[in-house]
Amino acid sequence: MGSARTSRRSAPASRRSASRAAPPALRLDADVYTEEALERTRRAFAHLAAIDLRREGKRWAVRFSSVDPAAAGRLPGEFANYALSCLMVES
Amino acid sequence: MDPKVVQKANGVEVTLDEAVFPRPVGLAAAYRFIDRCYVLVETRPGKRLSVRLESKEPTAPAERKALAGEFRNELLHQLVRRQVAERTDGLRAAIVGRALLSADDALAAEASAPAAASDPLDFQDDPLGIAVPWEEKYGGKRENKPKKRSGQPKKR
Repeated sequence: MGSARTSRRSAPASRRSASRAAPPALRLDADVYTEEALERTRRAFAHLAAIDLRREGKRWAVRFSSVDPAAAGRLPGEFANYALSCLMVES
Repeated sequence: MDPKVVQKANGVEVTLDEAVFPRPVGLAAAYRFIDRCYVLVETRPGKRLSVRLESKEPTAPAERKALAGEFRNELLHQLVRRQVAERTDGLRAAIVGRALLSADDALAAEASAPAAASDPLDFQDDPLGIAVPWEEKYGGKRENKPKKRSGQPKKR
């Protein structure tokens, strides 16, 4: 469980300029959010951004790049909500 | 007082004691708010769980207070729901099992076997005398019976 892992996906060139300003990020408690839930969430949101998920100590660092401009403001919050719903499905 | 509520910029942070509200209860209550809020759950020292509810729309302080109240109500709802689920677990399993097996009479009878186990008969009881040895049951009677003579035709 302790191994760091990185997952990257490329995004269309049209989105790259929009994400340069301030790449949103999210830090989630690894004691609450499981890797399975976050991986499932990352796959569900892959069409909206390139999502980098890695373990940093007791937290998961989720970094978004190449974000779809239409979803930029809501993306981290919706990502966390979706991860919570995945947790509920797992339990 | 538990849970502790702190108002934030556009939402609230509620800190729960996991000894009172187990984690699945806190998660289930938080899950009910994902249509209105961005929800973030974190652990805190001392077996405590922090649930941050950030409203998706701008909110007034009174609305945030109401949000915290609704969350506390939801916590209680989920706690009671969990306790009832635990109490009725066996009953639900029996009802569902019976319903699924009711199409087949043999399987339904098998499914109701645990109910027959509550019958007052002990396993050592032998009302039909099945466990009595043959010698004890018929041995004495057989000696008193006259022996049949073989080889002689019956008189008509």
